Amino acid sequence: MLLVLLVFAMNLTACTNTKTSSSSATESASLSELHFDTIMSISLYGSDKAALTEIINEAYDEVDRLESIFSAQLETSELYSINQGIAKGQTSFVISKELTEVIDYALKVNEESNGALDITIGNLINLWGIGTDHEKLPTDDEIAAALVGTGCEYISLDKETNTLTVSSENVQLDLGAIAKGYAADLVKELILAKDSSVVGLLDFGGNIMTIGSKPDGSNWKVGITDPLDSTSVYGGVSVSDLCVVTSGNYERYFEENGVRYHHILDAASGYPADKGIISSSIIGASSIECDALSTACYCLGVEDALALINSLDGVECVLIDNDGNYYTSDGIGDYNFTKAE
Amino acid sequence: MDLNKKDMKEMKKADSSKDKSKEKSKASTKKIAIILSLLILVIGLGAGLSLYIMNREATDGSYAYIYQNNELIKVVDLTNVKEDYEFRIDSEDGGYNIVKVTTDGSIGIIEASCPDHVCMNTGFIRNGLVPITCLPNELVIEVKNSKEDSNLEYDGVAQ
Repeated sequence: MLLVLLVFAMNLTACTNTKTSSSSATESASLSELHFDTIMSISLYGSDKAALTEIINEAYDEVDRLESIFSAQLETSELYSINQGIAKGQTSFVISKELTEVIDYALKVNEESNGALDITIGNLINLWGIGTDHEKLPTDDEIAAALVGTGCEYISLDKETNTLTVSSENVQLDLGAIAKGYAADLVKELILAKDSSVVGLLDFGGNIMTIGSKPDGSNWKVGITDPLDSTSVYGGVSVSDLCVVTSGNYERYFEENGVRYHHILDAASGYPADKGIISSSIIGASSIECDALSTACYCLGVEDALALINSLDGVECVLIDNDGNYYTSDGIGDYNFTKAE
Repeated sequence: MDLNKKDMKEMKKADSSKDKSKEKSKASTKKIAIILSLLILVIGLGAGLSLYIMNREATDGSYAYIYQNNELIKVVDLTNVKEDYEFRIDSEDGGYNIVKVTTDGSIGIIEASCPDHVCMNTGFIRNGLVPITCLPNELVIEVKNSKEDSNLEYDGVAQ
C-alpha cells in the first residue's frame, strides 16, 4: 500500500516538470525579452532544463551584441556612428564583419528586386517618423528632398577589407528590414553550436525561425497573421528547420483623414508601399533572406513578387492583397499552406 | 549451576517486561506506518489536486500576463469578468498605460503616454496569437491558456 501511494505521488510530481515526448527532448525552457524595438521569444526543447535556460540567456546576449551593431536609433551603435560620419561628409569606413555581411546581402537583394529593398533611405524613414513621437504626413516637396542622393548606387563594399564607401551625404543607412533576420540566423547557429540536439522556435518580433522539428518529430505549424484582422490568423504553413517571415501594413502605422500610412516605405515613390499587397510572407532556410525578400515583395506588387520568388531557389511565398485574396509561389505545396476557416 | 526461585521469578519478570516492550514497539511501528500512509496519501492527493488545477487552467482558464521591463508584474484572470474594468500601469520614467479588461474576456490598452500608440493600435486581444507591446513603456501583455489557444494548431505566428 505504501509503495503504491509513493509511486503514485512521484508520478504526479514528475508529470508537472516533464513533457511527454517520443524524442530525447523531454524538457523545455522559454523566455521573452524586448530587443531590436520588438518582443522576442525563444523556446527550446532538450534534455536538461538548466542547460536550455543557459543557452537562451547566451542567445539574448548575442542579440544584445548584434543590436549594438545594427540599431539605427541607439546612439552607441556602430551603424549610428557610420550614419553620423556620412552626414558629416566622411566617405570611407572600416566596418565590422557582421555589418559587411548584412550590407552585402542587402545589396544583393536590392539588385534582385530591382531596387525594391533599399537600405539607404534612412532620411525618408526619419521624415515620416512612423512609430515615433514625430510621425507625420510629409509634403510632396519634403519627400522629394529626402529622396535626393539616395539609392544603393551610392554605396559600395570591399568585402576583403570590410570597407564601406559612401558617395552621397544624403545616404542614411537603415537595416531595420533585415537585421532581425540576420540576428535569427546567428542565434540559431549559436544554439546549435552549444547543443546540436536542441530543437525549438525563435520568434523575433514576428519573424519565426524553427530549429529542427517539433519534439515529437512532427513539423511546426506556423500561422500567418490576418492583415485585415491582426489578432487572427489568415492561414498556416507546416515547416521544419525553416523560417517564416511576414511584412504587413498592420505592424506600425498611423492614420490621417481615414488613410493608413504604414512603415514599409517604397524607395521609388517615397510613400508607404501601395502596390496592392498588404501582407507578404516568405518561407525559406535563411532568415536574412526571408526578411529581405518579404519587404522587397511587399514593395513589388503581386505579379513581380511572384516572378521574383519563382526565380529563386529555396524560397516560397504567400502574398495577401488589399481585398484579402492570397497568391502563392509555385513550390508552396511543400509547406502545405492552408487558409484558416 | 542451579537457579533458585528468586532468580526464576526475576527472569520471568524480565521476560514479561520484554514481551510488553515488544508489544509496545509493534504498536508504535503500526502507528508510524499509519502516519506515513496518511502523509503520503495527503501528498498524493495534494499533487493530484494541483495537477487537476493546472490542467483545468490550461484548458478552461484564460489569463493575461503583464510584463514590465521584462518582469512579470501582474496576472489578470480573463474568465468570468462580471463588469468591464480599467487599471493604470505607471513606468519608472513617468510614462503610463491604461489597461481595460472586458466581460468578453478581452484585454487592451485604451490610453498610453507613448508617442506611437502601437500598443493601442493592436486593439483588444483574447488569445495568444499576438501580444500587446508598448516599447516606450517596456510593457508587454500576453494571453495564455485561453480556451481558444487550446484549440490552436499553431506553434508560432509570423507577423
